[in-house]
Amino acid sequence: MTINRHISIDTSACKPLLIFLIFFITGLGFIQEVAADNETSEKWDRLLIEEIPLLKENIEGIINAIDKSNYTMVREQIDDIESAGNWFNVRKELESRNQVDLISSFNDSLSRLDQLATTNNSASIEQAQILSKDFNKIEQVLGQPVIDFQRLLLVIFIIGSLIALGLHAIPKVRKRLNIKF
Amino acid sequence: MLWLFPRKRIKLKTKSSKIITSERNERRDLFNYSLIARFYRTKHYPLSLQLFFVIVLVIFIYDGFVGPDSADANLITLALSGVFWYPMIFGGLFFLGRSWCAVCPVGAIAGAANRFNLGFKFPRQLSTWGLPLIAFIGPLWGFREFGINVLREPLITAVWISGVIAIAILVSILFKGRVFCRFMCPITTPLAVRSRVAPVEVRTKTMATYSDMSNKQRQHVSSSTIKKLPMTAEISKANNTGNMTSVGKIDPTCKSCKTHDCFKGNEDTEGCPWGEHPATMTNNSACSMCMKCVHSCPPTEPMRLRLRMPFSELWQVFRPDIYEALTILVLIGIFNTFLWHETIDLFLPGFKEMLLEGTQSLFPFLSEEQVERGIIRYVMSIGMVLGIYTFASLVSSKLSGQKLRSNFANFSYPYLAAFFIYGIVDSTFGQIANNGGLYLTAALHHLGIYLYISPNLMDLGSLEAYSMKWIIEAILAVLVGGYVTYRIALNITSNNTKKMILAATPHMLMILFLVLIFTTILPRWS
Repeated sequence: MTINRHISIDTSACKPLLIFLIFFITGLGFIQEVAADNETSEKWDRLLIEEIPLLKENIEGIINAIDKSNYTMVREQIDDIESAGNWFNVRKELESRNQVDLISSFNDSLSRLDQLATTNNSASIEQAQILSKDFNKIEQVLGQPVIDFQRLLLVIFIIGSLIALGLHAIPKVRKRLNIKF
Repeated sequence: MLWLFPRKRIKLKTKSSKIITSERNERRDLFNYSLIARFYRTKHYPLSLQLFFVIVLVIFIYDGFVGPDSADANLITLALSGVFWYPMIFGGLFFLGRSWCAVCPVGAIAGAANRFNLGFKFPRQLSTWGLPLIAFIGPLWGFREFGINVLREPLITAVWISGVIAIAILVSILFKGRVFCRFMCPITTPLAVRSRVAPVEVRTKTMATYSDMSNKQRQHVSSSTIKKLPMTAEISKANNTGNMTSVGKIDPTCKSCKTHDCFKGNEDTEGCPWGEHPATMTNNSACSMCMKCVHSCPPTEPMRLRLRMPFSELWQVFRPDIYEALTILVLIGIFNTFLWHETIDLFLPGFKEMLLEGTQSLFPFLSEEQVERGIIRYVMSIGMVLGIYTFASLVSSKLSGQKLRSNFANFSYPYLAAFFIYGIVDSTFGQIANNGGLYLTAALHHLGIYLYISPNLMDLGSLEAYSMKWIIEAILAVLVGGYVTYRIALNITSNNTKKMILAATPHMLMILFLVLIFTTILPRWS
């Protein structure tokens, strides 16, 4: 009597899947290439894990500096927001999400605060609070996911197809070379 | 509650209670759950996961070489210093032992290369946890104290991990068996000792005992060795054999088995890659739960994936290993080097400065910061833990009349239990809560899902329960560490109450001392 000593694996189902995946990826890659060629807009880094904490730090710095009536520091922080690349990346991401209102509101708050700080005006604190609220709104908007389905599918299918390829090829290699896995 | 008092349990042991224990053991078998059984019994496990992680590692290394310079944005540093190490490996140890090793991409590459090995035997003198412990203390952890952070600088991390892979391939091609994973991988010793804490184990239906088995037989177990082993355990004798509680006997099915596929492999499946025979395995330290033994043994036969009491293996260690003891002490030492830096100031004010001055002249080629961080803080932290533990072992061995070496190796496990409680809360839960958003944002970004998640997934400061963390941790660490000490003392003193108290008290006091240091100094650095 033969005992089935293990659960057998049938990798034949992998073949059509694999062929389909290869065609799919090739097609997807081609589409993406064409899309990239047509793309004329400026590139930006969509991973904002460095930019947002730094901007938050700037805004907190502004509030602290106003509390201490250190207006030079306030202007330095404003310059930092405007000149460093952090706000650029956040602004481009907001533009891609069609949140132009938020950008103009933040920019307005920032320039008003700059004017007030230049004249050492005590109303700066209220303006800084408005700036902080604007930034919180920006953070909330950026917390909502935007899904690039093309990229998502591409990543899943590339990894999936490589695993399928491995599971399909390894038993064959094993038999050919007489080695165990 | 009977398990808490082993002596009473021995007295109550009758034929019927043995049957109940056996039935309980069967109920604890996770293979009774079809979903778990199907997951682990399929031959796609762990191969598909290995393939997945190999692909992911290649992507990480690529990002390390060409990706962003920032450690918080680069995949390789995000993964190796965060996602993998803390939640997946450290956290996973608490629930699934060293299961990470079954799917580890470096292990998979080494395993594949090992199919074409030249057949050299790895020197027996080096077949200990000593070499990987040095790799852990030096290249992995120590380098960063000298300014070479192999886990937080993308390019260095990529070069370092590529070097590890190259060594793994070279060693696997040269030697027979998983030499790299077992005797060279920098994280194998921390994983080996911590896996003893896990609440699951892969064992045979009737678990093994070593009552009549010599160390030599255990190291080189074979089918003929198993046949020489007794069918029934001599419980009283086993209790006297070092730190070991008798847990059963060699499974009759394994004893009568003619092929020993679980160990040697068969036409379809390789044998245990770690060279362990499941029929005689009593610990988790060299079991990656790769299920090769389960795949090669028929489903109705003895292999089980059993639930057990967490930490229970710590007082059932057969032949405690001096390197395991050293690993535990190193882990406690490097857990928070600032902590020990502060502690030395508390007890010996001015000693640190004196040491710094003296050391600087010895190492003129090192900068002041390198001497302070790398030599004073890092080496001193490990040295302090080693020193106070040796002192406790010395007192304990003198009082109980044991050999120092035996006492040193036996009683390190309760310290691991106490430390693990701090590690699991701070390093795993704390890491996920404080930086989870960072990892999630980066991972989703690479998948094409763009959003910003605040690094703090949870505002731990606002949680009332978390503010009590130090007290809860301290109570748990003292209770668990104390109980493990009691059980080990009971085992090694052959139930002699006076000796047991004398052997356990110094270690219990030292655990209390460590917990007090953790509880009073650590919060100041958090």
